[in-house]
Amino acid sequence: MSTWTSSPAPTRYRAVERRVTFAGLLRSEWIKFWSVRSVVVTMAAAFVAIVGFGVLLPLAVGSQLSGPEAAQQGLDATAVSLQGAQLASLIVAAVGVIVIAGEFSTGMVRTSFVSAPGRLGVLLAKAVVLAVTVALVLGAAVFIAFLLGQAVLDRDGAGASLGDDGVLRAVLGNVAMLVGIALAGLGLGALMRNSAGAICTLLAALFVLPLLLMAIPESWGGPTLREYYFANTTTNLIAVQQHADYLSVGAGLAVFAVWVAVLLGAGALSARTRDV
Amino acid sequence: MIEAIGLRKVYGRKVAVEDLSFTVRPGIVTGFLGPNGSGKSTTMRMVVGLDRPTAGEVLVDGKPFQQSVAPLSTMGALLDAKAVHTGRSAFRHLQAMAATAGIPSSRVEEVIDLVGLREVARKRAGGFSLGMGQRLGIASALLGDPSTVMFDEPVNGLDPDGILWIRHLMQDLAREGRAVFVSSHLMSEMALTAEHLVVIGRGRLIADESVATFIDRVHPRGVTVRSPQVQQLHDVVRDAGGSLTPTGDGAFEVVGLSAERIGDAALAGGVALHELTTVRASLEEAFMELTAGSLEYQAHGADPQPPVVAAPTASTPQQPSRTEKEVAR
Repeated sequence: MSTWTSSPAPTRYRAVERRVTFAGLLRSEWIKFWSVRSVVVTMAAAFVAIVGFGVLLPLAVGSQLSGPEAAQQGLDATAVSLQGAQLASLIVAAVGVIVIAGEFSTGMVRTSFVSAPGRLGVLLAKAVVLAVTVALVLGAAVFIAFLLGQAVLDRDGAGASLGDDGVLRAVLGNVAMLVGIALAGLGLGALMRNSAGAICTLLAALFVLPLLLMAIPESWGGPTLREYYFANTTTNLIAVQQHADYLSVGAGLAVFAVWVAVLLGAGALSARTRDV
Repeated sequence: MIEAIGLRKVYGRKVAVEDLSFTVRPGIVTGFLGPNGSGKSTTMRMVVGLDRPTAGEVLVDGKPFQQSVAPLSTMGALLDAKAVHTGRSAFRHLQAMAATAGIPSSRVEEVIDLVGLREVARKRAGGFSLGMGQRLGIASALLGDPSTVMFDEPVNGLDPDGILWIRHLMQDLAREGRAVFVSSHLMSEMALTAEHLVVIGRGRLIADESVATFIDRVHPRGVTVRSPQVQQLHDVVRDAGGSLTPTGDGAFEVVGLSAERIGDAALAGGVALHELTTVRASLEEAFMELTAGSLEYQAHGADPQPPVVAAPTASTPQQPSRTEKEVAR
């Protein structure tokens, strides 16, 4: 309006500078995460799987327990109540994939990358929101599953408690495994840009490849491959009872973190450099 | 403000954009014109950094858009109506965008009302019609109140009301001193909105000039003259050095003389003129003439063979041709 009075020539528009911030990107990704029904439903499915198996498997195992002696014979009460987390790991892998690959398939990613052209901030914010959400929501599910499962097993006197040796570590280990696999899904989703392809790849990586690795003979380095392979690194992390064939808790967690970081890094590099 | 400097983009072995330089200035609407597949969308994607130029660079307010610290208030872009997650509502979509730069939700409400999406704002964007998708894209572009806006084929899918609305919107935005860059493959649309034109064909710059200059590039077809004194008109025009052909409805088309010369000569010769009109090429004609040979997907029906169905004097009029029968079925 001032242009009418001051000068007839068009003055250049002075936009209010609205800087993109990482806190803003976090808020944005939080809104995005919870405003797509498929993501919410999948998260709910993972929650139900963890808690559901946390009750059902102890019920099934408990009915076969004849007494405390049997309980001593190799039953990992903690692991039994947390079997659902294994299934949930596949579901959170899908969540990780679809929060990014869904953007590529719908075209949303163009809006995201025009709003934050640095791109890496978008991906990092996605990773943080995903990790925190999985840790809180599915972490709660893991604890609920543990407590309900042990209550069931306690009827036969076979239940474990969080204070027992290695139990809290195994419970938290399951949460860490879920967070890591969700992030691996995010990395692979950013790399492959295709939900179905990335989910199938992760499914194969988590459930099929470990079986194939079993067939590799010792002379070909089979045991080492099995130890360091992505899906096997968490074997001891998520259970109280330890297997000598697999990496110890600390080493396993470190190697698992490296696998996840490599996948995330590859996804970030791809998102940063390729045209969308 | 957008400055493209020697832009080049190659996909595999296909050159999409070649040595393209132009400037989009603030305060006016700059039309970006070219046939389908001429590289308009590719160029626009390079402007906002979605595609990386193979060579050259493009600056928005003096620097590459990827380096912008305040992208939403620097440039608002409608690239296509599908840059939305189909499972998210328009409201959440805009809210998520606004959050990145701390834009208040009052502004989200404002742009929803501005584009007229109030009633469907809470519905999933996947169910939107093309026109509603365009409106959401425009809302996204305006969200950060940017100093430059860029619309790729914004009238696609809009109803006549919507087309009129966006025309006025673009002119208003330009009047406020913003740089407005809008692409279209429709010359007539540009003629109504743009002041300046960047024309490309096969990824190369054909023209970067005002709409008026662009039309003047194509030689005037001639001057239509009407007079009751046919013989005197002939003499006057011939004497002045022009040539004259009847157009069939009592008028004549004069070539080789400007309307001014004809008028002056007629006055001097005492010839009454009932009409004196310079016949200009329409923007479409100018466009066709300049982009001929640079059409990516040329229709092959343009050869001299007469079309089968349209031929009014078929050799066997009592028997409908096969094509006609098939159409009738």
